[in-house]
Amino acid sequence: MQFIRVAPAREGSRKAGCCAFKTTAFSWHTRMALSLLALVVPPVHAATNSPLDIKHLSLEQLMEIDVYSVSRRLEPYQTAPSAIYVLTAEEIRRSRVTSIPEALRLVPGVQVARIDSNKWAVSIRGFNSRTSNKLLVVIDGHSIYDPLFSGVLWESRDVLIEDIDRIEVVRGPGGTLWGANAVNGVINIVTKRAHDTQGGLAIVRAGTEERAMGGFRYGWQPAKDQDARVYVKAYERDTGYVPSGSAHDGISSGQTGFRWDWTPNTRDELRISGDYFDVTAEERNTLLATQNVAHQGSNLSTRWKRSLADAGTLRAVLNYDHFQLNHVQLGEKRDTYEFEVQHGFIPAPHHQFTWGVDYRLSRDDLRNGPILHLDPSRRNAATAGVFVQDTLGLFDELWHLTAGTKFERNDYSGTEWQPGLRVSWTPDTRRTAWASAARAVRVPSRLETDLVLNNVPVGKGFDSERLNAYELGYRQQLNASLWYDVSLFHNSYRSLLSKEQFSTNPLDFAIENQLRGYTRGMELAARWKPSADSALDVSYSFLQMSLHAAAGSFDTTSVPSLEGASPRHQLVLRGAFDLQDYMQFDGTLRFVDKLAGPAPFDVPAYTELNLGLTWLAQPGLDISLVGQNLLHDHHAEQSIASLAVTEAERGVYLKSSWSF
Amino acid sequence: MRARFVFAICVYAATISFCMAEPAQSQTALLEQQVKTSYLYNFIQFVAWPEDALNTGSKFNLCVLAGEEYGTTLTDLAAGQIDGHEIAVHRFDQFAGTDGLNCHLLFISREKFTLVPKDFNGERGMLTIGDMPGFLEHGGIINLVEVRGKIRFQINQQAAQRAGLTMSSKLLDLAMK
Repeated sequence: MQFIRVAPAREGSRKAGCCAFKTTAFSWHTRMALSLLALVVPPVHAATNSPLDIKHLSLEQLMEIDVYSVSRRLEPYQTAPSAIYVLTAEEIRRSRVTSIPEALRLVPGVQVARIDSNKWAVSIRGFNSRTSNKLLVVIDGHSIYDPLFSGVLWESRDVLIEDIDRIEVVRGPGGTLWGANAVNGVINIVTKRAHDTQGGLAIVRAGTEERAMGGFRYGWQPAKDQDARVYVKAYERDTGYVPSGSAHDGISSGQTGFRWDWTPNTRDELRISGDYFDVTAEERNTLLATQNVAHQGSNLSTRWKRSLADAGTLRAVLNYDHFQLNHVQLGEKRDTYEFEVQHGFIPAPHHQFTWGVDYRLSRDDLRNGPILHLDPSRRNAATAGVFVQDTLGLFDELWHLTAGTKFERNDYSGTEWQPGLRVSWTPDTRRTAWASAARAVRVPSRLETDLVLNNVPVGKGFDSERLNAYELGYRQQLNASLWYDVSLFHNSYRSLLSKEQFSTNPLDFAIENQLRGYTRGMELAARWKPSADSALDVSYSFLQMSLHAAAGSFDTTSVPSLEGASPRHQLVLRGAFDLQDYMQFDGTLRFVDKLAGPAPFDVPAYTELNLGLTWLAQPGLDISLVGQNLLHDHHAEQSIASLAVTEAERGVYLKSSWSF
Repeated sequence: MRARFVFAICVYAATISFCMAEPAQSQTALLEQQVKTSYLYNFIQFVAWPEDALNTGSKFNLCVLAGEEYGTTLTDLAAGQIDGHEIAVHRFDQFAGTDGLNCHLLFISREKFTLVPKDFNGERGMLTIGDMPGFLEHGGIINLVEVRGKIRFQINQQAAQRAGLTMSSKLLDLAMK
């Protein structure tokens, strides 16, 4: 055997005395693992004070150590050649957020603004609005954006927060792998495996703004190789602040669902999950009377994964989603079917090849409102795509070159190519530098294509929006306690949507592609863990938008309102402290720059603070007291440009959760 | 202007920290590496090597084709003895064919699996261990697999026989079928 030998196996560096693993150097992961081990390893070994002593664990004991629920396999992210940020379940728990958009505030490069008590504007790298259409949002492989306007209705697309395993946010075009709409980024919400949610969990929450919430989850093993869980949750949120009159923007929501995981052998994994929700979201519209908007939906999602003999993997996903919206302006009934197959394998040394096909069919049945009119009112829209991607390891696997493209056909804009090229340098597992160039498109939505005003179809001439994106990034684990990630981007857009206003009549316009321009910016995330019982996180985002209308365009309003809708600077400081073994204290301070819309659509910059204290009363039972938006009685986060907005108020809630 | 300043600061900070980089144990996968290393140590005790491959009193060569993150965990094994054989740990970054070093155990971590030629077959007296789906089909002897968060192992008995290794019945019992 001949191998390229590396430096001698560090025998010399071994300090005299006991074990090579110094407890003080352990991360919290390892500490958790140690305490976990204390449970699974028979007392005789636990008493040796070094339960990870490699030489004294038996095969039987090794087989019982739950490795992955502790380490969470975050390793791949460290070397990922893209601007990826992962919010773990623990971070979500410690930040005490009560909704997904609130959790996304913690992620660099993401703009989150509360429009009213139930509506959110969420975007990545700019173009923020309630109908942000340049990002893809996925829960367990099932995309949740509404093809009607290519955006996400966050008030009804929800999960039990305690079920979230992690939220992966990829900034930058994900079009190569994910397909259309992943223009500025992808938000991928992954729930815990049923294996990790065994037993019961009961949650009760009550407060001034977060009025009431109840949740219950139960996980069990139907058979030796199967895990399952069911959950139910319901909540009600109070209205926001308006200077006079009633805000009428509360929400009441009920949701239930299940997940079933089956591992019949070492090669196959099957997952079936489903949810049902029924949401009533109040809406205060300045033009029409107030109304209660009903959202209803259900989905069923199946995923099958097989490890192949040639070291490859095969994954097949089949999803069904039903959604119903009842709004004064528009009624929507939609059934979406998604099918996807992905195959990854190693065709030759140094290559990692992935290819896949997907198909999506969305059938809708719309009810036209007094102003909004869509023709036809029923439509079946199909999208079919195929992608290939190869990662080539070069120079002793220190460099990686990833090239891929997606080829997609959709009913709105025809055929689209979305190629991407990435190069990364990983001298060791602690440092990664990467650069990328990619092309992405945002295909027209149903609303843009089929909108009819005064019997005139306004969007017939609208085509896809296009992006060329250039990115650079660097990520480093500086030492055991300090980690950071920096990324820079320059996004060059063309054929952006413009609203060609032909006369002073607000309904006399056409939707065209007459805007272009660029955005650029920087995102920084850093984590410092000075000790095992404290952690500090910083995230800073800088964004500059420069758009203009083409010569001859009649659009004078879109540029200032787009540029003004996303803050230039955002800063989030987070601290998590374990005060005692039974007390946890957390704080999140966030600064969001002004929204520089044309008056009166500007929103002043704000700084807000959330604090939380958790008392681990006894094993399984903890009680938390949380203060939200503590610095002001109320503050605005979104301009009044398009919708009736309300301001977020200071709130306090008490939560207890009991697992058994 | 301010944008340029921010960019400059950030490039500067990256350069500084890059130069300051000090070795640090990769934190997240530490437990996984430790458990796998412990498995290697266990396997040695339940496998009998042919006499011509492991002479009495000679060193036991434990070879690992893995990234440097395994360095720390392996250190703990290097100081040990097993059945009168002193354990010598050799870690490699690259795979480049055959040569003199007589590895009694070769662990190929999944990160390095792409470096191994497809027609790779172990030698007589060499226990090959991997942690990658398909490792056994490639002629590997023991494969560590993740099953619902835990690490278990599979055995390719034909490959073991070809290598002249005898597996204890306990090992065969505990292996996944």
